[in-house]
Amino acid sequence: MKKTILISIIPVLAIFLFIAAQSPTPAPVQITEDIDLGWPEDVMTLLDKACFDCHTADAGNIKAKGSLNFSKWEGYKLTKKISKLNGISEEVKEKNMPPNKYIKKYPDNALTDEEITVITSWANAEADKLMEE
Amino acid sequence: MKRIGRVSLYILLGSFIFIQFLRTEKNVSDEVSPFDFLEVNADMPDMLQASFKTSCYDCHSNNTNYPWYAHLAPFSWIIDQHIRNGKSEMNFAGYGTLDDRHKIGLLDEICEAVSDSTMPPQNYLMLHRDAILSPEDITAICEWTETEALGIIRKK
Repeated sequence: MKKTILISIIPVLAIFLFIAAQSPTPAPVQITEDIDLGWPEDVMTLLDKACFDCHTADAGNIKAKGSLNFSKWEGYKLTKKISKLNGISEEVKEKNMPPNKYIKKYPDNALTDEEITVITSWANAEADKLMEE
Repeated sequence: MKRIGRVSLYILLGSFIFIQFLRTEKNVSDEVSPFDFLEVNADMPDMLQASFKTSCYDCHSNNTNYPWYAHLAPFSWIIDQHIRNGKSEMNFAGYGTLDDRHKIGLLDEICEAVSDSTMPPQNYLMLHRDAILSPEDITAICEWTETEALGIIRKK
């Protein structure tokens, strides 16, 4: 009887496990590229370090490229640029970006708190500037 | 083997009944926030208002229109989790409190999310066929969000 109950629990557990299963995200590819958008050099250095591996045309990460592609920046319309700058500021500030998975793989590309402030204050100011123009 | 099957069924049935007692709080508010997206943009065409209500507001507002199965665990847990995630990502009830930059960001993201079919989510659409946005709906949403965003910029 005891054994029967024990074996009976297995399909129940299997169903719960099935519900709990989550799909993983793909890992990025290491690529460097020249992008000139007239942004300050210190900002470009940080973006190059922490963002360009996935958010540029040559990157293998289609999902990342789809949501933000610095290689296509000039082609974005005004509202899109403001929105993306706002998004950069938010994601970096909340440490959603760069993703933990990426940081684990490339610890040198992590942003310090000071570097996060450099990016967020630049992105906010740049968005405000675009709104004024 | 037959017995295992029957005991399995009893355990499943028992746990199903038991979990019905673990109630969750429902996302229903009587008050309409004056900062709500549709309140702030009350001049929006009715067709568009309806699109936002049926396709977005279940998970991105303080008022969910619950289907009957939403009261049954474990579906209620999954649904509550979806609503919590949706609201923490973005809640239309607070739109009016955002600064101009965030408003423009949100407007653009609304258009982007419906255009690339990330929103409404596929699993939501499977059970809410009326929430499916037609290509015409999506065009109308994007034209409206773009005009609204440009309006905010021009006002500055």
